[in-house]
Amino acid sequence: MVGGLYAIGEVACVSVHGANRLGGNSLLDLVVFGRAAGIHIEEAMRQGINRRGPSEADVDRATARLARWNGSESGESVAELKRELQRLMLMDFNVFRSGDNMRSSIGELAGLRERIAVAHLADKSRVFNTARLEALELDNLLEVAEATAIVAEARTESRGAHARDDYTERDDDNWLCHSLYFAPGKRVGKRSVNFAPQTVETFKPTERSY
Amino acid sequence: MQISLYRFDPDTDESPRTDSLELDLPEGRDLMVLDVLELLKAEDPSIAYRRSCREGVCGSDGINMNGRNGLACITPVSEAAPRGKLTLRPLPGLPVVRDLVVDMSQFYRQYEKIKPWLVNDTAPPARERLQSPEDREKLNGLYECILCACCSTACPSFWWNPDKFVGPAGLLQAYRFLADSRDTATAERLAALEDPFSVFRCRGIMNCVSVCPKGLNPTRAIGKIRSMLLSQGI
Repeated sequence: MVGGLYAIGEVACVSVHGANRLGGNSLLDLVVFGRAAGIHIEEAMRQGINRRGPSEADVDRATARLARWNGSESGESVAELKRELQRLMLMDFNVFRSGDNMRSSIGELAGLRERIAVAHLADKSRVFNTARLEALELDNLLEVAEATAIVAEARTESRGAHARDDYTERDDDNWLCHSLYFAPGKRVGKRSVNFAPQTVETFKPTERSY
Repeated sequence: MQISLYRFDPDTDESPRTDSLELDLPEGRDLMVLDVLELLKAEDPSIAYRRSCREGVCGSDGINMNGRNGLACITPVSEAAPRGKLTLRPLPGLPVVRDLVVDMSQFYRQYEKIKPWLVNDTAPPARERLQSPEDREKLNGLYECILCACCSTACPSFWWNPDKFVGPAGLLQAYRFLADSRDTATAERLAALEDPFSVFRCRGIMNCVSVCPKGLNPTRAIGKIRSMLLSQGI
Protein backbone atom coordinates (compact mmCIF):
# COMPACT_ATOMS: atom_id res chain seq x y z
CA MET A 1 0.00 0.00 0.00
CA VAL A 2 1.15 3.48 -0.87
CA GLY A 3 -0.38 6.01 1.52
CA GLY A 4 -2.21 8.78 -0.36
CA LEU A 5 -2.27 6.95 -3.70
CA TYR A 6 -5.81 6.16 -4.82
CA ALA A 7 -7.00 4.17 -7.81
CA ILE A 8 -10.59 3.84 -8.96
CA GLY A 9 -12.26 1.98 -11.76
CA GLU A 10 -10.85 -1.07 -13.43
CA VAL A 11 -7.27 0.01 -12.86
CA ALA A 12 -7.90 -0.62 -9.14
CA CYS A 13 -8.74 -4.22 -10.03
CA VAL A 14 -11.37 -4.87 -7.39
CA SER A 15 -12.56 -7.60 -9.75
CA VAL A 16 -16.21 -7.37 -8.72
CA HIS A 17 -17.22 -9.26 -11.85
CA GLY A 18 -14.64 -11.99 -11.50
CA ALA A 19 -13.82 -13.64 -14.81
CA ASN A 20 -16.80 -11.98 -16.49
CA ARG A 21 -15.83 -8.79 -18.28
CA LEU A 22 -18.64 -7.71 -20.59
CA GLY A 23 -19.26 -4.25 -21.95
CA GLY A 24 -20.61 -1.98 -19.24
CA ASN A 25 -18.95 -3.88 -16.38
CA SER A 26 -16.61 -0.96 -15.85
CA LEU A 27 -19.52 1.16 -14.59
CA LEU A 28 -19.92 -0.72 -11.31
CA ASP A 29 -16.24 -0.32 -10.57
CA LEU A 30 -16.37 3.37 -11.42
CA VAL A 31 -19.58 4.37 -9.73
CA VAL A 32 -19.52 2.28 -6.56
CA PHE A 33 -15.82 2.41 -5.81
CA GLY A 34 -15.41 5.92 -7.19
CA ARG A 35 -17.94 7.12 -4.63
CA ALA A 36 -16.42 5.02 -1.86
CA ALA A 37 -12.93 6.33 -2.66
CA GLY A 38 -14.24 9.91 -2.80
CA ILE A 39 -15.84 9.60 0.62
CA HIS A 40 -12.70 8.00 2.00
CA ILE A 41 -10.45 10.70 0.52
CA GLU A 42 -12.57 13.47 2.03
CA GLU A 43 -12.32 11.84 5.44
CA ALA A 44 -8.61 11.20 5.08
CA MET A 45 -7.96 14.81 4.03
CA ARG A 46 -9.85 16.10 7.06
CA GLN A 47 -7.86 13.90 9.40
CA GLY A 48 -4.58 14.74 7.71
CA ILE A 49 -3.57 12.32 5.02
CA ASN A 50 -0.66 9.98 5.51
CA ARG A 51 1.04 10.60 2.21
CA ARG A 52 4.27 9.05 1.07
CA GLY A 53 6.24 11.33 -1.23
CA PRO A 54 8.48 10.03 -4.02
CA SER A 55 11.96 8.90 -3.07
CA GLU A 56 15.01 10.16 -4.93
CA ALA A 57 15.30 6.75 -6.57
CA ASP A 58 11.69 7.00 -7.85
CA VAL A 59 12.42 10.38 -9.42
CA ASP A 60 15.70 9.17 -10.91
CA ARG A 61 13.98 6.19 -12.45
CA ALA A 62 11.21 8.32 -13.98
CA THR A 63 13.59 10.94 -15.37
CA ALA A 64 15.93 8.25 -16.70
CA ARG A 65 13.03 6.77 -18.65
CA LEU A 66 12.15 10.17 -20.10
CA ALA A 67 15.82 10.92 -20.85
CA ARG A 68 16.17 7.59 -22.65
CA TRP A 69 13.42 8.50 -25.12
CA ASN A 70 14.57 12.11 -25.45
CA GLY A 71 18.13 11.00 -26.15
CA SER A 72 17.22 8.37 -28.76
CA GLU A 73 18.74 9.11 -32.15
CA SER A 74 17.69 6.18 -34.29
CA GLY A 75 15.88 2.89 -34.11
CA GLU A 76 12.48 1.41 -34.76
CA SER A 77 9.46 3.71 -34.55
CA VAL A 78 6.93 3.68 -31.74
CA ALA A 79 4.06 3.13 -34.20
CA GLU A 80 5.75 0.02 -35.69
CA LEU A 81 6.43 -1.57 -32.31
CA LYS A 82 2.97 -0.78 -31.03
CA ARG A 83 1.45 -2.46 -34.08
CA GLU A 84 3.53 -5.55 -33.36
CA LEU A 85 2.50 -5.60 -29.70
CA GLN A 86 -1.14 -5.29 -30.74
CA ARG A 87 -0.77 -8.14 -33.22
CA LEU A 88 0.78 -10.47 -30.63
CA MET A 89 -1.85 -9.75 -28.00
CA LEU A 90 -4.71 -10.04 -30.46
CA MET A 91 -3.49 -13.33 -31.91
CA ASP A 92 -2.47 -15.23 -28.80
CA PHE A 93 -4.15 -13.59 -25.82
CA ASN A 94 -7.63 -13.16 -27.18
CA VAL A 95 -10.55 -15.09 -25.64
CA PHE A 96 -9.49 -18.41 -27.19
CA ARG A 97 -5.98 -19.32 -26.07
CA SER A 98 -3.58 -22.23 -26.25
CA GLY A 99 -0.57 -22.93 -24.05
CA ASP A 100 1.88 -23.41 -26.94
CA ASN A 101 0.93 -20.15 -28.64
CA MET A 102 0.97 -18.25 -25.37
CA ARG A 103 4.42 -19.57 -24.44
CA SER A 104 5.88 -18.67 -27.81
CA SER A 105 4.33 -15.20 -27.65
CA ILE A 106 5.67 -14.63 -24.14
CA GLY A 107 9.10 -15.23 -25.66
CA GLU A 108 8.33 -12.72 -28.38
CA LEU A 109 7.19 -10.17 -25.79
CA ALA A 110 10.58 -10.46 -24.10
CA GLY A 111 12.18 -9.77 -27.48
CA LEU A 112 9.86 -6.81 -27.98
CA ARG A 113 10.98 -5.41 -24.63
CA GLU A 114 14.57 -5.32 -25.86
CA ARG A 115 13.54 -3.59 -29.07
CA ILE A 116 11.38 -1.01 -27.27
CA ALA A 117 14.31 -0.25 -24.96
CA VAL A 118 16.29 1.02 -27.98
CA ALA A 119 13.39 2.41 -30.04
CA HIS A 120 13.35 5.90 -31.50
CA LEU A 121 11.30 8.93 -30.53
CA ALA A 122 11.31 11.02 -33.70
CA ASP A 123 9.58 14.12 -32.35
CA LYS A 124 11.29 15.77 -29.41
CA SER A 125 9.42 19.08 -29.49
CA ARG A 126 8.12 20.61 -26.29
CA VAL A 127 4.58 21.81 -27.01
CA PHE A 128 1.74 19.25 -26.82
CA ASN A 129 4.01 16.41 -27.93
CA THR A 130 1.69 13.42 -28.35
CA ALA A 131 4.51 11.36 -29.90
CA ARG A 132 6.39 11.40 -26.61
CA LEU A 133 3.20 10.53 -24.79
CA GLU A 134 2.68 7.53 -27.05
CA ALA A 135 6.28 6.42 -26.53
CA LEU A 136 5.83 6.46 -22.76
CA GLU A 137 2.48 4.70 -23.20
CA LEU A 138 4.22 1.99 -25.22
CA ASP A 139 6.46 1.26 -22.21
CA ASN A 140 3.33 0.97 -20.07
CA LEU A 141 1.47 -1.14 -22.62
CA LEU A 142 4.33 -3.61 -22.69
CA GLU A 143 4.22 -3.98 -18.90
CA VAL A 144 0.48 -4.61 -18.93
CA ALA A 145 0.72 -6.93 -21.92
CA GLU A 146 3.42 -9.01 -20.29
CA ALA A 147 1.48 -9.21 -17.02
CA THR A 148 -1.63 -10.33 -18.93
CA ALA A 149 0.33 -12.89 -20.93
CA ILE A 150 2.28 -14.47 -18.09
CA VAL A 151 -0.73 -14.68 -15.81
CA ALA A 152 -2.88 -16.15 -18.60
CA GLU A 153 -0.33 -18.82 -19.37
CA ALA A 154 -0.05 -19.74 -15.71
CA ARG A 155 -3.79 -20.20 -15.26
CA THR A 156 -4.20 -23.83 -16.35
CA GLU A 157 -7.98 -23.87 -16.69
CA SER A 158 -10.74 -22.23 -18.74
CA ARG A 159 -12.89 -19.59 -17.09
CA GLY A 160 -15.02 -16.79 -18.49
CA ALA A 161 -13.21 -14.97 -21.26
CA HIS A 162 -10.12 -17.15 -20.76
CA ALA A 163 -10.86 -20.22 -22.89
CA ARG A 164 -7.87 -22.54 -23.29
CA ASP A 165 -7.91 -25.41 -25.74
CA ASP A 166 -5.36 -27.34 -23.65
CA TYR A 167 -7.31 -26.90 -20.39
CA THR A 168 -10.93 -26.77 -21.44
CA GLU A 169 -12.55 -27.25 -18.01
CA ARG A 170 -13.04 -24.85 -15.16
CA ASP A 171 -10.94 -25.88 -12.15
CA ASP A 172 -12.35 -24.48 -8.91
CA ASP A 173 -10.03 -26.60 -6.76
CA ASN A 174 -6.95 -24.76 -7.95
CA TRP A 175 -8.10 -21.57 -9.59
CA LEU A 176 -11.00 -20.09 -7.66
CA CYS A 177 -8.77 -17.10 -6.99
CA HIS A 178 -7.50 -13.81 -8.37
CA SER A 179 -4.23 -13.91 -10.26
CA LEU A 180 -1.57 -11.57 -8.99
CA TYR A 181 1.45 -10.49 -10.97
CA PHE A 182 4.70 -9.22 -9.53
CA ALA A 183 6.73 -7.44 -12.18
CA PRO A 184 10.10 -7.88 -10.43
CA GLY A 185 10.98 -11.48 -11.26
CA LYS A 186 7.77 -11.78 -13.37
CA ARG A 187 6.22 -13.88 -10.64
CA VAL A 188 2.61 -15.07 -10.53
CA GLY A 189 0.72 -15.28 -7.25
CA LYS A 190 -2.81 -16.02 -6.12
CA ARG A 191 -5.18 -14.18 -3.88
CA SER A 192 -8.35 -15.76 -2.56
CA VAL A 193 -11.71 -14.38 -3.64
CA ASN A 194 -13.71 -12.69 -0.90
CA PHE A 195 -16.81 -14.80 -0.44
CA ALA A 196 -18.05 -13.09 2.69
CA PRO A 197 -20.70 -10.60 1.60
CA GLN A 198 -22.21 -8.60 4.42
CA THR A 199 -25.84 -8.48 3.41
CA VAL A 200 -26.51 -11.12 0.75
CA GLU A 201 -26.75 -14.76 1.61
CA THR A 202 -23.68 -16.50 0.23
CA PHE A 203 -24.22 -18.87 -2.65
CA LYS A 204 -21.84 -21.64 -3.54
CA PRO A 205 -19.90 -20.92 -6.74
CA THR A 206 -20.70 -23.47 -9.41
CA GLU A 207 -19.97 -23.92 -13.07
CA ARG A 208 -22.44 -22.26 -15.35
CA SER A 209 -24.54 -24.58 -17.47
CA TYR A 210 -27.15 -23.80 -20.08
CA MET B 1 -6.20 10.28 -51.24
CA GLN B 2 -5.26 13.93 -51.13
CA ILE B 3 -5.17 15.47 -47.69
CA SER B 4 -4.60 19.04 -46.71
CA LEU B 5 -3.53 19.32 -43.09
CA TYR B 6 -3.20 22.39 -40.88
CA ARG B 7 0.16 22.41 -39.10
CA PHE B 8 1.49 24.73 -36.43
CA ASP B 9 4.14 24.29 -33.76
CA PRO B 10 4.52 27.51 -31.74
CA ASP B 11 8.12 26.60 -30.87
CA THR B 12 9.38 26.51 -34.43
CA ASP B 13 6.75 28.14 -36.67
CA GLU B 14 6.13 31.85 -37.13
CA SER B 15 2.70 31.18 -38.53
CA PRO B 16 0.54 28.18 -39.40
CA ARG B 17 0.94 26.37 -42.71
CA THR B 18 -1.06 23.85 -44.68
CA ASP B 19 0.64 20.60 -45.71
CA SER B 20 -0.52 18.77 -48.82
CA LEU B 21 -0.21 15.05 -48.21
CA GLU B 22 -0.88 11.93 -50.24
CA LEU B 23 -2.08 8.76 -48.51
CA ASP B 24 -2.88 5.32 -49.90
CA LEU B 25 -6.09 4.15 -48.27
CA PRO B 26 -6.96 0.46 -48.02
CA GLU B 27 -9.45 -0.48 -50.73
CA GLY B 28 -12.99 -1.60 -50.12
CA ARG B 29 -13.20 -0.04 -46.67
CA ASP B 30 -14.53 3.32 -45.59
CA LEU B 31 -12.21 4.56 -42.86
CA MET B 32 -13.09 7.11 -40.25
CA VAL B 33 -11.21 10.39 -40.39
CA LEU B 34 -9.43 9.45 -37.15
CA ASP B 35 -8.06 6.32 -38.88
CA VAL B 36 -6.62 8.59 -41.55
CA LEU B 37 -4.98 10.74 -38.87
CA GLU B 38 -3.52 7.64 -37.22
CA LEU B 39 -2.10 6.48 -40.56
CA LEU B 40 -0.58 9.92 -41.11
CA LYS B 41 0.84 9.97 -37.59
CA ALA B 42 2.47 6.55 -38.06
CA GLU B 43 4.44 8.18 -40.91
CA ASP B 44 5.00 11.52 -39.17
CA PRO B 45 4.72 11.23 -35.37
CA SER B 46 4.92 15.00 -34.97
CA ILE B 47 1.29 15.49 -36.09
CA ALA B 48 -0.64 16.48 -32.96
CA TYR B 49 -4.32 15.90 -32.23
CA ARG B 50 -6.38 14.78 -29.27
CA ARG B 51 -8.10 11.41 -29.28
CA SER B 52 -9.07 8.84 -26.72
CA CYS B 53 -12.07 6.51 -26.97
CA ARG B 54 -12.25 6.37 -30.81
CA GLU B 55 -16.02 5.78 -30.65
CA GLY B 56 -17.70 9.15 -30.24
CA VAL B 57 -18.04 8.99 -26.46
CA CYS B 58 -15.17 11.00 -25.01
CA GLY B 59 -15.44 14.08 -27.24
CA SER B 60 -11.67 14.60 -27.58
CA ASP B 61 -11.25 14.62 -31.34
CA GLY B 62 -13.54 17.45 -32.40
CA ILE B 63 -11.92 18.95 -35.51
CA ASN B 64 -12.95 20.78 -38.65
CA MET B 65 -13.25 18.47 -41.66
CA ASN B 66 -13.78 20.06 -45.06
CA GLY B 67 -15.26 23.10 -43.35
CA ARG B 68 -17.55 21.23 -41.01
CA ASN B 69 -16.98 20.52 -37.31
CA GLY B 70 -17.37 16.96 -36.08
CA LEU B 71 -15.71 14.09 -34.27
CA ALA B 72 -12.98 12.54 -36.42
CA CYS B 73 -13.59 9.07 -34.94
CA ILE B 74 -17.20 8.76 -36.08
CA THR B 75 -17.05 10.69 -39.33
CA PRO B 76 -16.50 8.42 -42.35
CA VAL B 77 -14.01 9.71 -44.90
CA SER B 78 -16.66 9.30 -47.62
CA GLU B 79 -18.93 11.69 -45.73
CA ALA B 80 -16.27 14.25 -44.83
CA ALA B 81 -14.72 14.30 -48.31
CA PRO B 82 -17.29 13.16 -50.86
CA ARG B 83 -15.20 14.67 -53.67
CA GLY B 84 -12.06 12.88 -52.57
CA LYS B 85 -9.99 15.65 -51.00
CA LEU B 86 -9.86 15.82 -47.22
CA THR B 87 -9.10 19.12 -45.52
CA LEU B 88 -8.35 18.91 -41.80
CA ARG B 89 -8.20 21.97 -39.62
CA PRO B 90 -8.53 22.70 -35.89
CA LEU B 91 -11.91 23.77 -34.47
CA PRO B 92 -12.39 27.41 -35.52
CA GLY B 93 -12.49 30.31 -33.09
CA LEU B 94 -10.30 28.93 -30.31
CA PRO B 95 -6.56 29.60 -30.01
CA VAL B 96 -4.44 26.82 -31.56
CA VAL B 97 -1.99 25.13 -29.21
CA ARG B 98 -0.45 22.97 -31.91
CA ASP B 99 -1.68 21.46 -35.20
CA LEU B 100 -5.26 20.25 -34.55
CA VAL B 101 -5.12 20.87 -30.80
CA VAL B 102 -6.97 23.96 -29.59
CA ASP B 103 -6.95 25.67 -26.22
CA MET B 104 -10.35 24.85 -24.69
CA SER B 105 -10.06 27.24 -21.70
CA GLN B 106 -12.52 29.79 -23.05
CA PHE B 107 -15.04 27.03 -23.76
CA TYR B 108 -14.68 25.53 -20.29
CA ARG B 109 -14.94 28.95 -18.64
CA GLN B 110 -18.36 29.42 -20.23
CA TYR B 111 -19.38 25.93 -19.13
CA GLU B 112 -18.27 26.62 -15.57
CA LYS B 113 -20.22 29.89 -15.55
CA ILE B 114 -23.57 28.11 -15.77
CA LYS B 115 -22.79 26.06 -12.62
CA PRO B 116 -23.07 22.61 -14.22
CA TRP B 117 -24.03 20.78 -11.06
CA LEU B 118 -27.21 20.12 -9.17
CA VAL B 119 -28.06 22.79 -6.61
CA ASN B 120 -30.56 21.82 -3.96
CA ASP B 121 -30.57 23.52 -0.58
CA THR B 122 -33.16 21.25 1.04
CA ALA B 123 -31.90 18.49 3.33
CA PRO B 124 -31.07 15.33 1.36
CA PRO B 125 -33.40 12.39 1.97
CA ALA B 126 -32.06 9.18 3.48
CA ARG B 127 -31.41 7.43 0.18
CA GLU B 128 -31.59 9.69 -2.86
CA ARG B 129 -33.54 12.54 -4.43
CA LEU B 130 -36.27 10.91 -6.47
CA GLN B 131 -37.67 12.09 -9.77
CA SER B 132 -40.79 10.98 -11.63
CA PRO B 133 -40.29 9.29 -15.02
CA GLU B 134 -42.00 12.31 -16.62
CA ASP B 135 -39.56 14.74 -14.99
CA ARG B 136 -36.63 12.53 -15.90
CA GLU B 137 -37.87 12.52 -19.49
CA LYS B 138 -37.33 16.30 -19.62
CA LEU B 139 -33.56 15.78 -19.37
CA ASN B 140 -33.37 13.65 -22.50
CA GLY B 141 -31.60 15.44 -25.32
CA LEU B 142 -29.75 17.57 -22.77
CA TYR B 143 -27.63 15.37 -20.53
CA GLU B 144 -26.01 13.49 -23.46
CA CYS B 145 -23.66 16.37 -24.31
CA ILE B 146 -20.01 15.26 -24.29
CA LEU B 147 -18.50 18.78 -24.39
CA CYS B 148 -16.61 18.23 -27.63
CA ALA B 149 -17.05 21.94 -28.49
CA CYS B 150 -18.08 21.24 -32.10
CA CYS B 151 -21.21 23.40 -31.64
CA SER B 152 -19.77 26.42 -29.85
CA THR B 153 -16.86 26.64 -32.29
CA ALA B 154 -19.30 26.53 -35.23
CA CYS B 155 -21.17 29.55 -33.84
CA PRO B 156 -20.33 33.04 -35.17
CA SER B 157 -21.77 34.62 -32.01
CA PHE B 158 -19.32 32.57 -29.96
CA TRP B 159 -16.42 33.52 -32.27
CA TRP B 160 -17.34 37.16 -31.78
CA ASN B 161 -17.95 37.14 -28.01
CA PRO B 162 -16.34 34.02 -26.58
CA ASP B 163 -15.94 35.76 -23.23
CA LYS B 164 -19.52 37.01 -22.88
CA PHE B 165 -21.80 34.72 -24.90
CA VAL B 166 -22.15 31.38 -23.09
CA GLY B 167 -22.44 29.55 -26.40
CA PRO B 168 -24.62 26.60 -27.41
CA ALA B 169 -22.79 23.92 -25.38
CA GLY B 170 -22.92 25.93 -22.17
CA LEU B 171 -26.54 26.98 -22.72
CA LEU B 172 -27.66 23.41 -23.43
CA GLN B 173 -26.25 22.50 -20.01
CA ALA B 174 -27.74 25.63 -18.42
CA TYR B 175 -31.14 24.41 -19.56
CA ARG B 176 -30.37 20.86 -18.44
CA PHE B 177 -30.26 22.16 -14.84
CA LEU B 178 -33.12 24.65 -15.28
CA ALA B 179 -35.26 21.73 -16.44
CA ASP B 180 -34.25 19.42 -13.60
CA SER B 181 -37.07 18.93 -11.06
CA ARG B 182 -34.49 18.31 -8.34
CA ASP B 183 -32.71 21.65 -8.80
CA THR B 184 -33.85 24.54 -6.59
CA ALA B 185 -31.66 27.33 -8.00
CA THR B 186 -33.84 28.17 -11.03
CA ALA B 187 -34.26 31.86 -10.12
CA GLU B 188 -30.52 32.38 -9.51
CA ARG B 189 -29.65 30.50 -12.69
CA LEU B 190 -31.99 32.69 -14.76
CA ALA B 191 -30.76 35.88 -13.08
CA ALA B 192 -27.20 34.99 -14.11
CA LEU B 193 -28.30 34.70 -17.76
CA GLU B 194 -30.50 37.75 -18.27
CA ASP B 195 -27.79 40.19 -19.48
CA PRO B 196 -27.72 41.12 -23.20
CA PHE B 197 -24.87 38.70 -24.00
CA SER B 198 -25.09 35.36 -22.13
CA VAL B 199 -28.18 34.06 -23.95
CA PHE B 200 -29.41 36.83 -26.21
CA ARG B 201 -26.41 36.84 -28.57
CA CYS B 202 -27.87 33.65 -30.05
CA ARG B 203 -29.34 34.54 -33.46
CA GLY B 204 -30.88 31.14 -33.96
CA ILE B 205 -28.91 30.22 -37.08
CA MET B 206 -28.69 26.58 -35.89
CA ASN B 207 -25.10 25.87 -36.89
CA CYS B 208 -24.87 24.14 -33.50
CA VAL B 209 -27.70 21.80 -34.37
CA SER B 210 -26.32 20.91 -37.76
CA VAL B 211 -22.87 19.91 -36.45
CA CYS B 212 -23.70 18.24 -33.11
CA PRO B 213 -22.25 14.70 -33.33
CA LYS B 214 -24.71 13.49 -30.70
CA GLY B 215 -27.76 14.82 -32.56
CA LEU B 216 -28.68 17.33 -29.83
CA ASN B 217 -30.49 20.62 -30.30
CA PRO B 218 -28.94 23.54 -28.38
CA THR B 219 -31.09 26.09 -30.30
CA ARG B 220 -34.25 24.56 -28.88
CA ALA B 221 -32.79 24.66 -25.35
CA ILE B 222 -31.84 28.31 -25.84
CA GLY B 223 -35.42 29.03 -26.95
CA LYS B 224 -36.71 27.43 -23.74
CA ILE B 225 -34.33 29.53 -21.65
CA ARG B 226 -35.56 32.65 -23.45
CA SER B 227 -39.17 31.73 -22.70
CA MET B 228 -38.31 31.19 -19.05
CA LEU B 229 -36.54 34.56 -18.91
CA LEU B 230 -39.47 36.30 -20.60
CA SER B 231 -42.20 34.78 -18.48
CA GLN B 232 -40.16 35.62 -15.41
CA GLY B 233 -39.80 39.24 -16.56
CA ILE B 234 -43.51 39.79 -17.10
